[in-house]
Amino acid sequence: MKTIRSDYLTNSEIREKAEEFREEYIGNYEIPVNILLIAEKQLDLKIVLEEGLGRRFDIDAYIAPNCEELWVDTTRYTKRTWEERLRFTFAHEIGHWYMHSQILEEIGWDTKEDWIETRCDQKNHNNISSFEIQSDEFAGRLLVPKQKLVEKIEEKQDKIDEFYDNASRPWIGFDDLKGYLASDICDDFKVTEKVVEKRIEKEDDIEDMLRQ
Amino acid sequence: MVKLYHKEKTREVKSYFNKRGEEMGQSIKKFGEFVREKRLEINMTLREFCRKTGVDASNWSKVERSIKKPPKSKEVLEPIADILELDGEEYNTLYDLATISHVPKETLTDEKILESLPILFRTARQGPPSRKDMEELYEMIMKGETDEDN
Repeated sequence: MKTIRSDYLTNSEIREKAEEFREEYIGNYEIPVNILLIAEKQLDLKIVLEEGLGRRFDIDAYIAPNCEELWVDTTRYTKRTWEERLRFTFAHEIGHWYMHSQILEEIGWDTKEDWIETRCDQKNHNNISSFEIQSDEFAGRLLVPKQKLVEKIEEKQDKIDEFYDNASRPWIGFDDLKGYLASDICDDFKVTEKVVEKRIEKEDDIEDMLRQ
Repeated sequence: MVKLYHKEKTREVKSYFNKRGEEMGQSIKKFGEFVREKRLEINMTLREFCRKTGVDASNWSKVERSIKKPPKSKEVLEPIADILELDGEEYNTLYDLATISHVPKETLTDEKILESLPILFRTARQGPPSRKDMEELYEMIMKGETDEDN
């Protein structure tokens, strides 16, 4: 059995990495980020489609350890209704490609048994989970850049004022506003509402800007 | 007669490409590589390409990776040429490569499978995946990387 080492990164380190990646492979702050094309064209990742990854294992996608193939569930890749989620999935896997490629390449399986034992080990699983969280942070930052998020929120200032004016009931507060704004601007980034909500939560100064 | 003509034509095209490849100091591009290159030149993702041409995405990802035979019929190749905006020599290249492409009957090696086994993926359950899930995932990956028609 192999040991998958942990590699702790702070949120600000992850964000720096996302910005480094943007500079290196995208070169601008345009939204929505064409992440599917970047994966194929800039990173030369081959798309391998596999039916059942999602339905049977609830795996949307994974990057092969050689960092040359991106395996994706066929239905989740092709269905229009999955587009926003698919874009986040790609950004997430690119996060692994950019931040964790060394860890991926270090591990070579000798046998199928070796792979199973390594992946089923609790300690390895905990370390893998922390890589998943890191890649989520990377993906959010990449698809929803901070300055674009601020710009989009500023464009909605009238709506924000209107929201607070009408929020006479005491239980209507910041969380409701966050959801209200996210549903309004998520299309600009082509991500789900949840991703925008998370991004607002993660940026302290945006949260302060919205609290009145 | 038709078969004989086809064989002769294939030999002719292969010889032309081999000669040209040698002259240019490179090996012949495979059909899948050629299509992928042209597709990315016009900034088209695999997803968009499959949607526009109507080809099955799962099969096409195999064609582009040269593990499945390319289509040879005009009905399939014509819309592909259209969407990839191919004309002149490139149009002919598409047809020629489709004619000469073959997929070698390679046995999927253990090494190749081991290289494709995922490390970083989430699981639906709280803890690590079960042994049974991993066995099934292994089978799926192994089957997925073979061309049933080959």
